[in-house]
Amino acid sequence: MPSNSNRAFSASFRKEWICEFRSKQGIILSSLFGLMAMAAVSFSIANQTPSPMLAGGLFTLIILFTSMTSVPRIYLAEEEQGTFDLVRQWGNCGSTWLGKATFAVLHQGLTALILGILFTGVINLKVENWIVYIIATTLLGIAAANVLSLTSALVVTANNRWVLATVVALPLLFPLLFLGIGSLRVAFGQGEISGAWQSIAAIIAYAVVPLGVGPAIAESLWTERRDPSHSFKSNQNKGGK
Amino acid sequence: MKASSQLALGTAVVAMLLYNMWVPNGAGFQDPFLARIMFTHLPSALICSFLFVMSGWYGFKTLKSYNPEVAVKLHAASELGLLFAGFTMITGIIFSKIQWGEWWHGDPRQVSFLIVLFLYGSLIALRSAYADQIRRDRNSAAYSLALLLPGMFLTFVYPRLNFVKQQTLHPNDTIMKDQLDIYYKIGLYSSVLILSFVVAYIFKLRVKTELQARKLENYGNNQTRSSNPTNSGVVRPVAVSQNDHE
Amino acid sequence: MILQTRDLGHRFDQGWLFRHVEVDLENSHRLLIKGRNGSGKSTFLKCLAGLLIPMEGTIQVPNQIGYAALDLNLYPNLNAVEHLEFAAQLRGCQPQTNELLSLVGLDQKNKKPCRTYSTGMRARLKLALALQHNPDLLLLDEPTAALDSDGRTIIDQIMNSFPGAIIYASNDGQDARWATHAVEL
Repeated sequence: MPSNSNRAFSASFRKEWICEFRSKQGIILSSLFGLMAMAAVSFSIANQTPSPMLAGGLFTLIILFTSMTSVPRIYLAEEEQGTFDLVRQWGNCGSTWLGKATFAVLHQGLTALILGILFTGVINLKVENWIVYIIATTLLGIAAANVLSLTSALVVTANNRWVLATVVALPLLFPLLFLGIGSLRVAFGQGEISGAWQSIAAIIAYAVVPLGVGPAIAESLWTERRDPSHSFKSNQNKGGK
Repeated sequence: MKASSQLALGTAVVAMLLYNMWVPNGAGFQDPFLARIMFTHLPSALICSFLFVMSGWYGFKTLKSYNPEVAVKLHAASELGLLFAGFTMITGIIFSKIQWGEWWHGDPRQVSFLIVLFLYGSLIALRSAYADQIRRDRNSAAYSLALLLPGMFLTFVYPRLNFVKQQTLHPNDTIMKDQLDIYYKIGLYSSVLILSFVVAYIFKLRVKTELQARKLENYGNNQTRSSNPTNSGVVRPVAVSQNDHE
Repeated sequence: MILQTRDLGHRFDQGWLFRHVEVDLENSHRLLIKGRNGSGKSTFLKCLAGLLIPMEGTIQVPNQIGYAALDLNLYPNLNAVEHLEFAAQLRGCQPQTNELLSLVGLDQKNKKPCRTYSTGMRARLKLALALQHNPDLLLLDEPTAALDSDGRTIIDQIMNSFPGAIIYASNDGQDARWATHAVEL
């Protein structure tokens, strides 16, 4: 990464950090939603003992929905508050996206970890493999954050962007649900450990791919200019031939 | 497409339908006549997966260098993909009811394909959320590219995971293990071939109509909103002398 | 030639806002965009700034463009210095915080976030941000709309001393005094 992009990336991350900690809205909302989802799960399970697979599925859902409430805000707020044009005008959109995505990763990784620890207290099920549990939980949060960063970048300027952000993200998050079940059920004592590592490897791949393509997609979609010389040709009518 | 080609395609479709009706009933089914559903179910699933990859490819091309014609192909591929994913789903549900006794069996393959259907649905939802043609095309392109990963996972990887194989009733390797008799092999392969031609024909037609629709839209918008008569010709700045300001 | 547009046009759903706009601009030119409300002045500037893809035509612009507009918002939780530092890091240039803030008449010691700023103070900060990377072309949408007499003096200085070209949209008759060229949309 060239040094200019590095500077832009760290500036974008720092800006998110400052804005988030000055308003505290995202952190409070995200934490509150996670806790409420946990309470709802605890209430619906009552004193029953869920199967490891069901517990894994429920907890993955909590992580995914918690991410869905907070990650899109990092992107959509730019358009809502009218600052998206600033980002596009100042350039380095790919690095800006990466800075935002890194902030989302940190936030969601930590949120997932805390929720994971709390979850063990509300379900009537013992964690048999803590290493798998902690790794899978944190990685699920990180992967969800990256997928949501990618999809949020696509809908920043769309109509009904808040609803659309979840609609376009959910199908992309489904595979994480399966992978979450595949790894967490082993942590709860069902299935082979090799299956858990396979799922964790797939979660890592799922987390890395959006980070790889995200900057290029943001650079392409957020910058309305076509080539580096900043001169461009545009003619939509040629679609009609 | 020439009239002779259209006639040949129509004849092939009729011949395919007649052959599919003629083949002997399948063995080991609750309703032996139902075995024929594979002539629609499997080709639809294959075509849908192929269209999925195609929309990803057109998405990549659109992002690389914007061309409205390629973007229209992307939309045509995703619309047809959704249609054939729907066929696969409906035929699967009918099979599930007759063979396993329930419309929705909760089979992992059923669920994973339902998600594939959602992938297409969300692509079309994203497309309709942009009024601006270029933004609509470019954002759909990026999303169709992003969908390739979960699409491929759900279609090819997920059904082969061990814990899924243990739970599913859906046959996974009928063709690989050569479990089809010669009548069904001929029926299946010819269905795949003929339906592919039908899809290619509809695809070309869809691209053509969409390009015409865009042309018409641009023609309709060719009227200027401004009442300023200068807008009907070239608009150029004029030099201003300092006396003009006084 | 610092800017050239050929056959430039943009439309929204209702129809074309402007079409066939051909502008050739040299350094030191001051181009005034005139037109009634809704005629497409701001849209034209956005197309030049690269914030909108025009529906037809070609644009050749310099690499460095400064853009300030009324509908451009600032980050509510960042102060003026943080804005300038963030913009400089994204642009890869020096922040020039002290020089720019004193140029636009903002207090450098003011650490309050922008949400507490008046409209005029925001307009001054946007102007500072537009000038930060020493652009070759400055695009100003209603540059004097929110400014007091001191602010207008600052705009006056910029219009007279800025070395590059300036394109500005305005409906204020007094703003026409800077124009070397004018176009009506």
